[in-house]
Amino acid sequence: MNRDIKDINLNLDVLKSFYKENKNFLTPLSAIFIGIVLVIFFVIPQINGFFQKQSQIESEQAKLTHLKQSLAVLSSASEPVLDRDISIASQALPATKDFASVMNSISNAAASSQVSLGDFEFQIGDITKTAEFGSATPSLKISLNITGDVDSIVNFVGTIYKSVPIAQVETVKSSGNFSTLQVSFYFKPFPPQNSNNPENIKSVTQKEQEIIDAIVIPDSLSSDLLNSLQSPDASASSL
Amino acid sequence: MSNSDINFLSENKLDKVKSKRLNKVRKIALFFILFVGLFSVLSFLLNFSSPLNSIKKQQAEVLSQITLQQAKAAKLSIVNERAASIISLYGERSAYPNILKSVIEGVPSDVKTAGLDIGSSSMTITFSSDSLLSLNNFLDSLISLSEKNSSIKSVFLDTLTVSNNSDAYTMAVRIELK
Repeated sequence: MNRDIKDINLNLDVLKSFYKENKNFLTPLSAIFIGIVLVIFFVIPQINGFFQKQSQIESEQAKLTHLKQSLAVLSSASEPVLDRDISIASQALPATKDFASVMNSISNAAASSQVSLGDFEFQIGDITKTAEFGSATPSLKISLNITGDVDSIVNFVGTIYKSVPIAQVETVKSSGNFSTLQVSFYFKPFPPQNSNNPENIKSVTQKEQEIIDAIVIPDSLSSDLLNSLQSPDASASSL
Repeated sequence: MSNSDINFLSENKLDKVKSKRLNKVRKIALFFILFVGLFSVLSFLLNFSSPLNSIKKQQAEVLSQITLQQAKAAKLSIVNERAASIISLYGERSAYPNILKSVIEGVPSDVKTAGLDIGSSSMTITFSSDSLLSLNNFLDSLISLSEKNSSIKSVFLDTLTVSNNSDAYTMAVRIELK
């Protein structure tokens, strides 16, 4: 037992003398250790954070630029012109099934091409389901019986194509002076208003304005304008 | 003889070596303190002068001005959407009315258009005439029309009939569209 106490005393003495000899190193070594810890846990994350912040500043700056452009577009747009454009565009492409406009279009086309209208039949579909805004354009299909020679039928088809609402004559079956036509009149619900992105407000392009201005109610669109839109690459180049 | 008498280095030299080491460690510690301190000050200054808050404030101001014109923005969005949809519809519609009009306009005076059958991708027009030559010339003009018009894929002569009773010729021409 005395030998153990002596051993313990010797170890304590060794430690005490080691501390006494090297106590001056304790403070700077602690400072170095704390410095290393701070570099790892503070300096390096701060450097990473700085670069992330720079990238965030760039994207926020771009967003601000887009917002200012949108504001400039809004400030330059004329509300009476927009109201007029909406009225015209809505007659060309109604938001709902517009039976009155369809009947007007057919009557006007028949009168101008000197054909007689016989029976016609609307194919309405599911009346409980309202059309929703989407990429496809729904249509109101109508089957018409017309009396007139082939030249008059051709004029009738051409007039329907230029009038509003926008229509497509799907089929024509003509025999003698009697013809049956299948016509589709397009309509499309308005987009939901919460889909407006304030960064993405665009002005009406020149081409779009020309198209709207050319839609004269109830007269026809010019053939040149329609031809330019119906060329093979029209959709890509028109805007 | 004690252990200290065996030490080959004198106490003075030992102290000098220790003192040099201590100075080196102190310099390294001072370097770390200065580095972290300076970096902290720099980081604070960079954060303080960051334009991010100013940009966000400007965004909020512009957004509030846009919100004041929300009704106009909605109208503009509708006009854009309608115009784009109308242009798309015009582009997608079949081009046959123009072709049909060109064909009918080119029909000679002694050729009669007897029938018309239009489908989704083709149209068949029936012509009749007393003159086979007129029909032939008209057919040639249809062929040259198809060469000039990129919407026409092909022109077929489906039938050519002769009526025994009236010597009238009837031809059915099918024009296929692209």
